[in-house]
Amino acid sequence: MEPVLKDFDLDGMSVDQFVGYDNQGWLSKEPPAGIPVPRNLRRIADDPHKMSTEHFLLNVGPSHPSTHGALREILELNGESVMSSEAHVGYLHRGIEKLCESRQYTHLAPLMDRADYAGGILPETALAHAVENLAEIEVPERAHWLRAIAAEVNRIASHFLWLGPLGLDSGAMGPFLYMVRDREILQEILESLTGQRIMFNYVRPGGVFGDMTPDAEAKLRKWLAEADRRMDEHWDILAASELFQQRVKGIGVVSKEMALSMGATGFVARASGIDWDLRRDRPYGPYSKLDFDVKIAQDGDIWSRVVVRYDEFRQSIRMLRQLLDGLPEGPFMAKLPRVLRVPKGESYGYVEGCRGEIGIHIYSDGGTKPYRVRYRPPILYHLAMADTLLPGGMIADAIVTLASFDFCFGEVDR
Amino acid sequence: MHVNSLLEAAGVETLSVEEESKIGIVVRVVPEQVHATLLALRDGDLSFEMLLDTFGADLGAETELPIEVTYHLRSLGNGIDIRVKTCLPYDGEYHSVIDIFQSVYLPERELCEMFGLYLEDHPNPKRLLTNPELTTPLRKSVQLRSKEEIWSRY
Amino acid sequence: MSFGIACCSLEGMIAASGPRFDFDRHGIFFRGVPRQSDVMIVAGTVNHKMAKVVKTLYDQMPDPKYVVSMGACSNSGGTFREYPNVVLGVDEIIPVDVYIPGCPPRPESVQYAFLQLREKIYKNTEARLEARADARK
Repeated sequence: MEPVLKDFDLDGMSVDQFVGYDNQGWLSKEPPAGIPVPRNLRRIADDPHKMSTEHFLLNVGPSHPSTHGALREILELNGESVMSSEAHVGYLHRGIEKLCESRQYTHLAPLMDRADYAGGILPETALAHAVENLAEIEVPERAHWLRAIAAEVNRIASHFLWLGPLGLDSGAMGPFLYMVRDREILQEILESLTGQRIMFNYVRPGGVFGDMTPDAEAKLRKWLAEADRRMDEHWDILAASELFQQRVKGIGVVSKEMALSMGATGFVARASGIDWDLRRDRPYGPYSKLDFDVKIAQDGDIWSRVVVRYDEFRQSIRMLRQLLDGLPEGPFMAKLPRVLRVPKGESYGYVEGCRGEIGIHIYSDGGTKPYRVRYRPPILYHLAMADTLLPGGMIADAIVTLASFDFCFGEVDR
Repeated sequence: MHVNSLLEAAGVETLSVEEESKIGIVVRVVPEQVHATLLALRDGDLSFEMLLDTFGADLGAETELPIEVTYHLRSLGNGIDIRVKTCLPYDGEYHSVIDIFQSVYLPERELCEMFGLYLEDHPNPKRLLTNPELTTPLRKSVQLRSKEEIWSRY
Repeated sequence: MSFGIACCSLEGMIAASGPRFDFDRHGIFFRGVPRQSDVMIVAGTVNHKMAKVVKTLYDQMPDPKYVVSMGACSNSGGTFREYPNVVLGVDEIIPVDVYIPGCPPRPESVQYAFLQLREKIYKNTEARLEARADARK
């Protein structure tokens, strides 16, 4: 379809017909009463005396240079300001929930890795919690601490992955390269610990796969010795600059009521004033013995989220020092049968993921394979907020707002 | 029990309320009572402000009402989690609760698409994740690809 | 053009272009649009919804163009090959020149793939020039 040709009829077209995404049917029995149609889409008149502006549909397509993943955002623009927006997802739908039903419990960890690919340890830990809860497996103490070490290192690495594209989207190319440099060091540490750079198949139900190696410990201590100085450097490069602050203050405001009603968890909720951190309020593993703070910001704009996340960096570093010093002795994996058979029932395993609360709900029918696995994606709820947040701002603000939520499309589409 | 008395005071009939050890409090209702239950839980004195998750499960074609929809609510002030469950038939009608909690905007679309329910009272009832060729993937009747199909690629 | 769909994009685009495994020193740098690029790296699982997009982007690239398929998912379906929505390899849609195995492949593998691609182009050029020289005799 060539909408720029003069004989193309735009009146009465809906958004889907315009962008060529033929939806072929609605999920309801009849089409809804008010189909969302962008307003004011009309041809510019041939007569120069009758010219006026019209709204323009921009397709920020599934492949865009700001590497958030496969998100298609259809923006209706009036000049530079956004009138309405709609998010289309599903470009990475791989059926992780369905595939989980055909694998045994110990083979589910790679699928969970690929769901949240930026922080892979955390969904695996949630799955392990769910299975252990249901089968009542006793996990040794050392395994809990090793999981926490891997989780915190992964959290810092995942936050770095958010920081680089945030800088790129707001116009700063430098922080990206500094970010990759620091992330490489963390990936080396995780590689000595688990054997892989990003898809660690490390946390299994019952414990962890391998013990802490002296190589990993040495590298981690070396990094921790200068971690604070590096974080100061990262702060100075991006967040301390006046230009960046003016770019992000007061934009993309998520109020507390909106965060509560849209189901926001994690750093988005904390930036809007909701005081909830799963590591402190429902502690699992060693977190009840660790000493850390949780920062709450009240404004809910992008700047609050940036500040909350930078603080999460520092708290993770602080936690890592305590975890390394207090690592207990003992086995790292519980004694389990080769093929795990789990009793009938349902259970829920949760973890404070990099982007919010990851919850895995397992239905089991007493066999060796789960009956239904539900992965609660924290970002799906944040993405729904984008439809309300983007209109009213400029398109440049829209890009930075989307970057500040830290999308990782393996989770949204699963 | 507090939840029971809260729901009865609001005039909601429940099928059962149980305190299960593994997932906490579970309230089972018929689909017509879901709206009233969620409203009572949100506005009652336990104030469950956040709806964390909405999902479904296919209990198999032998059961009478095979699709079980679960709502996971949380009260931040009291730190309690509660789950509300209903059962629906295949190709049944699902009424949206978006006027109570807005967090179901995208999950309900996904739920009805994956299990094949009709979505009513929703502002944007479109498919979320799949193309129209793939219908209701999460039902137990839909099979994954077999080995022969995968090997025939070569 | 870096067409990073999923997890492989973290290694192939971000790590391989970072300061440690640098792409710039080979003379390769990432463009955002297909109209200015020569090579398309397909990194990530392709499903039926994305297949239309991949084909459109491939058609928008000007000749001569090359495709590098990175990771197990775009080679042949990968971990997700059993799900009916997943395309078993991106070479069902577009012709691929170099395949990189791995899940995810290390950034060094991606750089090695570009060196192999260069050799392939060189061999093709040599063959073409030979044929032209033979035709002139």
